[in-house]
Amino acid sequence: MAIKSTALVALVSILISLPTLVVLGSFFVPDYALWSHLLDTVFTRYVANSAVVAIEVAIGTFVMGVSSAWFIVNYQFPGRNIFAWALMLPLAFPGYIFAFFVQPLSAYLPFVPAREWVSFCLIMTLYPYVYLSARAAFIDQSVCALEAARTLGCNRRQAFLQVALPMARPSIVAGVTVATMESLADYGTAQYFGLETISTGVLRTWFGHYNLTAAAQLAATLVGAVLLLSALERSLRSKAKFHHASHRYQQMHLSWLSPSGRFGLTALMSFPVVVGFGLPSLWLIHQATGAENFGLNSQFFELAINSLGLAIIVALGLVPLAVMIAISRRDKPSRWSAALAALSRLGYATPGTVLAIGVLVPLVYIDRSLAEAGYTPLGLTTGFGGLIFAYFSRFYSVAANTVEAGLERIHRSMNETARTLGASSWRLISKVYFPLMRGSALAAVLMVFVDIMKELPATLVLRPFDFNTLAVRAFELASDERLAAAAAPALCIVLTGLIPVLYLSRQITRSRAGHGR
Amino acid sequence: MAGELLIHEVDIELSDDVAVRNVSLSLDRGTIGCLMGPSGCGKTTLLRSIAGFADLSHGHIEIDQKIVADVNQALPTEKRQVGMVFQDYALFPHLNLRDNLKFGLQGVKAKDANARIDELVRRVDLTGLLDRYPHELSGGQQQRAALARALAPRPKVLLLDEPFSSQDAHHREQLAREVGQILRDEGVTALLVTHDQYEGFAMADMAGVMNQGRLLQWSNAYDLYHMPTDRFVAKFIGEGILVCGVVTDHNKLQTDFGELTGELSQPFKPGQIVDLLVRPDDILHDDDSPLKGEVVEKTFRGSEHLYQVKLPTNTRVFCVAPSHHDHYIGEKIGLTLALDHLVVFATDNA
Repeated sequence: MAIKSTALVALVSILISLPTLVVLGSFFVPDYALWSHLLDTVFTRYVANSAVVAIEVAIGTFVMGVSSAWFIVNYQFPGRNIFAWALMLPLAFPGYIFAFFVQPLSAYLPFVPAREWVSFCLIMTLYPYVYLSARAAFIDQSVCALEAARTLGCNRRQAFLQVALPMARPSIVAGVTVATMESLADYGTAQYFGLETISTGVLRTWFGHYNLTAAAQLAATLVGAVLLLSALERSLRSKAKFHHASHRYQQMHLSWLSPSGRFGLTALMSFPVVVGFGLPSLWLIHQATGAENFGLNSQFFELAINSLGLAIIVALGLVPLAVMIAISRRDKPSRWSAALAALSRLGYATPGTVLAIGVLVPLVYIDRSLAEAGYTPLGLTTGFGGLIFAYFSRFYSVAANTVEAGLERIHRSMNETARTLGASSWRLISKVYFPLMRGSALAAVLMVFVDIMKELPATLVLRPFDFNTLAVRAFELASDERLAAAAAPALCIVLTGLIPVLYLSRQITRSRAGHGR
Repeated sequence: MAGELLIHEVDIELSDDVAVRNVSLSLDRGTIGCLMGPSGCGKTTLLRSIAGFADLSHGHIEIDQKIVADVNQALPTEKRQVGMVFQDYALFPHLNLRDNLKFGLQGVKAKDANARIDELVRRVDLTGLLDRYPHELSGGQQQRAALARALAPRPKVLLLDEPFSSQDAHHREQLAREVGQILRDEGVTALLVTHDQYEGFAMADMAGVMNQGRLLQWSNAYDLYHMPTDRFVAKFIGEGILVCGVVTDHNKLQTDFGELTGELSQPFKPGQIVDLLVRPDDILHDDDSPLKGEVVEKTFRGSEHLYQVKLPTNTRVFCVAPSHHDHYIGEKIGLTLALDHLVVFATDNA
């Protein structure tokens, strides 16, 4: 049993990390002629654009996320309870759909380069990651630490800068890292503004030249950057082992500002919500009215069925797998299983464009080898296999993280109690794990479902011929400036994007009830 | 001597409830006060109002003869020169011990700050640990670190909020004595909040019991124990029972123990029914005494036995006897009463 489950964990982990490993592996067979060509032509431009966007997103999401979280946690102002969750709404917009709304506006400011528009779109849609993690950290902080700072002579601002911010650093860094990694992975927004980044470059190399090696090597630099970033984050975090001595949560002493300050804060908090969610939603609805029947035609329904079907099938396949692996990892913890877990997490850190190439390389290789050996090729690249494989690889860690968080709440002692009461493995799983994990497993299904609905680049590359999803079609229509037709599928994606936002906001409301905040 | 801390007729309203009602107390410079009471009695809220974390709805608070808070205004915490030791210590996890101690010494010359830190580290016995982070210190060390950090800027008033609650029960009293000594060495005026009376008695000069937002009594520890002015205080502090009695004269009381003579703590008219406070140490074990009671429960406490004894009238009382007076349950033992003052209260159902 033990050996079987370890082997299963190993097999799944390796399969899931395969695309990333393939891309990284291409680095070890460098094509010098190709590299000198790349360096001479596009490479520096790609890297510069990607780097600038990533840095701007890091700074922008930090400022917006941390400041809004601090105001929400510490100040009383009109609408505070609404803003606490409304600030997450922009998360429902994928960057590329927000870009549909922003791009026409950019015509009025022609002197602003495309790169800045891309950064703007990404900041507006990614800052909620930082807001969420910073808010959780600020709430989690012992209020006593802040009060201690006050009794030691700090005013509110100093207490924030010298105590609250440094203590929240690990969480804030984690949030900013996620936002930055998402910005590096972004394909749609940059492509929509015609900005050449590494991510768009990978697909351009593939679609333009069908040069898989070049695409893979370009992709490898992107994975390298992403891995570097996450290593940096981990090292920053491990140095700061902040143990919360406190488990005593006092009612936060909310500050009342002067009336002008109060309404100023309301106005300030409205900006990201209105610009990041309200206006683009209204604009999309307005666009949809420009189409016949709001664009709800048979083509739309076909797209919706494609998207929903694919997302549901993958989510329902992936989550039980993640549950199984999480349980077997937990029952038999070892250095191996930890390493395998880290390996299987690679997928999420891997941008969709890169993943697509990583899936194509082995599949093309298999088909080509079969053809050369005189067999009929399996046509792996033209069916659903490649696409589903890519989804599994990319979203496995989304499912695993959610499921494992749920599993953590099941104390080892429960497991051991059940065993001493004579429960078999099956009984343990069906009577203890399953009922306790139902909530987190459902959450995992939702998260994966929503991520697949939004996914663009991997779907674009790997979808079977003539098969479209809402995301792909919306993007294609918008790229052809058929915004009215693009609006309905885009709205549909935003609506699904609201699911995790509402889920998170419900958790926030609950935690507020628990802590009186 | 001038009062270092003065609380005058203070009311505090929390969002849903009045948390503190009409509390007045004062502490002289260099003395240690202690507020006791069950949880939710308002003691912590009162402490927080002194620090500036809760607003007053009536009355005022003075520190060093300067009003720091009244109904209309409140000096911000950082300008009050109060130090606070929190229940969970609230050490800054991102700073090592040295930087934690230095935190309140902003604006002090580096040389002076370092001298102050060295002095405190010696005083609280944390020498050699300055480079450690809070999580690398033991619970007791964290507690002393929190104390040293609060003392570092030489606050006018030091507030301690249940500072020993996360320590082992049998260590608390000793810790409280040690902390009391450190505070006296520093000469700081301090106010401690605790629900554990032994902690309070171990370090405080003045003590008070709060219940439902009111400060019921504020006096020295001896009076609080022996001369409680309120039945809640009598029950809350120490062990003991209330025995029913009838006043027969201005200094005489008829009880299950016979007629007792002594000054009544409150005046009552002859014929009134009252409750008399009897502490275990008021009842002596005496084999020759004509008053006998049956042992119904006994607790061995090492050097002594605590007996619960049933009198012929079915009243149950506590009696402390030296440990070698080992009696079995059901045995009849002799008791005498050694009451030099009669602490009486009007009966509950009166």
